[in-house]
Amino acid sequence: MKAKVISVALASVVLAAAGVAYGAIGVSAAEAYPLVYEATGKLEDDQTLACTLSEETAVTGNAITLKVFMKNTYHYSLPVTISVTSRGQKYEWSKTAGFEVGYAYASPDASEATVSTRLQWNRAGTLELPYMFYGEVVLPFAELNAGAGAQIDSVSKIEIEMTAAVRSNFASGDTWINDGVCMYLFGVSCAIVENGDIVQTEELADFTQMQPDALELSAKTGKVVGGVRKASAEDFNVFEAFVAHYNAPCETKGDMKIIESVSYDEEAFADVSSERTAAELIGKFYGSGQIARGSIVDGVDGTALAYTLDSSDYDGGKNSYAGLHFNFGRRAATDWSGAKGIAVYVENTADYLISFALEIFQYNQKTGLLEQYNLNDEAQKYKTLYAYNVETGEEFSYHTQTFMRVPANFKGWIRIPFSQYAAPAWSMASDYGNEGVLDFDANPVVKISITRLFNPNQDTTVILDDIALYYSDFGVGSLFDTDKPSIRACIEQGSVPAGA
Amino acid sequence: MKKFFSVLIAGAFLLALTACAPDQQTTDDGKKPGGDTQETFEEKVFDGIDAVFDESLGYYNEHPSVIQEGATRWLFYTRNTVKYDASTDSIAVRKGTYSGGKWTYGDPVTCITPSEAGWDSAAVFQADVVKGAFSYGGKAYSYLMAYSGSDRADRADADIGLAVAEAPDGEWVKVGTEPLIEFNSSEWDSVGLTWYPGAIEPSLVSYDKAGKVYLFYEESEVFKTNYAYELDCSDLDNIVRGGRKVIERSGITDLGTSNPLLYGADYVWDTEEDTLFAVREGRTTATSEPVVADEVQTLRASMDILDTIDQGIAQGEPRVWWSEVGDTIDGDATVDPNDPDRIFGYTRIFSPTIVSNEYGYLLEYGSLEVLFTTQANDGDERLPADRADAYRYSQMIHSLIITF
Repeated sequence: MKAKVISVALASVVLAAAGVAYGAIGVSAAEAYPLVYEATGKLEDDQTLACTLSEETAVTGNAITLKVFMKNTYHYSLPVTISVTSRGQKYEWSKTAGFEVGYAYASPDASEATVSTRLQWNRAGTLELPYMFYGEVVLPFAELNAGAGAQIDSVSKIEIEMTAAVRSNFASGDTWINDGVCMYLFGVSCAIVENGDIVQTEELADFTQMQPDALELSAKTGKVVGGVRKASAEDFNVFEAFVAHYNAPCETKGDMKIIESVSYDEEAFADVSSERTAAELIGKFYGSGQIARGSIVDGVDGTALAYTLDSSDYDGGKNSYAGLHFNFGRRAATDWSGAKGIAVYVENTADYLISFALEIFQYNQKTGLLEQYNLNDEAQKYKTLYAYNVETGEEFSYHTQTFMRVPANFKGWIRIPFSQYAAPAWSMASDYGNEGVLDFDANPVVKISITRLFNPNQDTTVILDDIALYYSDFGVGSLFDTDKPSIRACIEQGSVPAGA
Repeated sequence: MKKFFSVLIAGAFLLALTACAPDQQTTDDGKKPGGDTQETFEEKVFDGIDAVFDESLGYYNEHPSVIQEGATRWLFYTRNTVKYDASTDSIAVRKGTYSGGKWTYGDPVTCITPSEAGWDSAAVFQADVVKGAFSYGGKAYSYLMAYSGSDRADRADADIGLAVAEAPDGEWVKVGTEPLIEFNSSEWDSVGLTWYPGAIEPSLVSYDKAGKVYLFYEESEVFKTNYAYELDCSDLDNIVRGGRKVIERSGITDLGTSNPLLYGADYVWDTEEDTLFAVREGRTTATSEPVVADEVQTLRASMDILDTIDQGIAQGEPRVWWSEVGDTIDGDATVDPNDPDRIFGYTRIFSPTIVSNEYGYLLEYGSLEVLFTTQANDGDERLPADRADAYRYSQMIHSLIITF
């Protein structure tokens, strides 16, 4: 897919995306579309979506389910607190550890088998709705933290309190430039859940049959940011495309599984305009710290991300880093088991060295915390990277420290074995709770941050195309040692193991 | 602890009294080797063992590299061709012969000098030579030289180039007009440093006794790094570049720090044990001129160091590659106990090399002969009072045996 080039300052990336025409709402068809909550700016505090039912409605089950699609979050997930009001009493779900049951649909129309999934309670007591989650969140009445065990037999109001980045469970949330949340809301049901399975549901609120004013948006303090709208036909196409994209297998190239191609599957997005596709593509990246200008440009394989630091954007009041962050748009991209390292296609357009960090985030299933790993390692100062310059054909290894250094005018692949990654010392403090052990058999990897030190990199652009996992032992070149294939041979002739 | 060094008293010391001892060869500038015969011989400053050959103060003798082919040695080193003139860098070679239990080195023959123009127009230094089968310009050659060159008199921003010859003592022909390893500081630096040594300290080891060679070298970008470059130089008009590999540094310790660089290193391959030996400069902390190292360390690592990549998630402690071999050559090791004027040893010890065979392979397991450079300190009262820069022309080359 060759999307049109758009250039958007990431500080306002979602705003820019919102500026794209979303298409007219079809009068009749729109009635079946979900409601969309979207906040593109910086939230001052948590915001709440409240659905007040027309009357106190009897419920016959032992749980409620919330059907949503989480299109954008400012982090791997959006932390929410869900509550119901029954006979004037507000009941809330809140835990600081463990998981909640969720059912993710494998297709937009929910016709394909659902996937039981675990939704994480974080230590802040909020439930995390993961990026790209489309399905039912199951909340048993028995697990209500207020009035646990209460016999809820009627409901008059359902509320979803969404945590602002600044108050989130995540480190450095206050440096997020925008909260950038977009959630599709389909409905709320009461349900009978037995042994973790939904055996019967009864609709409480069908948002696809409601107008936006059915949901009241309020802010805990400060002003309301964003709003609720009825999904347009194109919004719905986008939803369908994302669900299809998310459930499709990752593409492969040689011995690499592409976990981020900075492009969307042409087939999945066939019904979405190129402008909207491009906006969605850039909209998935969210920024922190200094302003990073991101744009989508033609790459070697579809489209690529151009990541620019413009000296005119420098803000002395912020920390010295700019960060662009993204979650994986395919479920299969979170499974890193069996991989030997990460590979990224990079172009340095400057005639001098630039640098960036490719930080990976493992979701520790035991602690429920997101753990950050990078090349910043007190114990092993120098890290070794492996590069293949596609223009010169040269392969070489080189040292780096904290950041990935990219030589002048380099175009090609850089490989980082996982052995080079470590948990930064600060993340091992109890506040962050990083256990410091990468274990891809046990844990998914859900997010990557591309961090750049502003001053040494200002007025430079790094172009990033495919980000991949590689699965082969390789050598640097193959002139002498033929036991192991060169990087080039791995890319051109290698393969990804079945099941990876 | 007693150190087990055997001091090689190079027979060449006899030449000290006759700096221009007769030799059948002349330098390519037409002068007699060892300097103009009309020049006055000035003795260098000795604080310890003799040099392996003597040359008058006013000529620096540094960066040795020695190959031994049968009963003959070839000692390549950096030397100025005009006394007290640092703008006359050259790579010289002296032929060594073994007799009476010692090696005696003949007079210098100039191999290469700076080019008229281009990347090596101001300085040539730090040469290393290996035997093999090379062709260049349609002609076959048996010896390949890698050397550092610079278009700056201070040797900064150096690149590495090649030269070939049919015999070690010439005639040497430079390969092309461009360097093999071109150092560009901006390629690796964005913080604005202005002085870099560049790509330096080339060390050649043959891979196949023919055209394939390892070129070890040091790149002095922000993160100084040692590399091993795999090259096929069979056809020097079309050099095939293989992988350029970082030489990991774990296990090297120096002044309480771990993993320092292989500064000024020279490499030898033990093909039987598949081990890489290296000799490096240690204690590079001198703050007064000459700002060079105070000692020389010998190390070894498995040759796997060049090909091993720790793939996947790190397992346990990081691998330790290098271990020290024998004793460090420091001031104490260079003492001459038989001469009361030389009981302090040298304070500046740097630019070492291991004597190898003609292919860069280990000569004999269990012992290594290490040649290294010493230099007088700036302000040494034994230097001529009327030449403030005399210390710059005081370098000598010495030899010690390391056993392991």
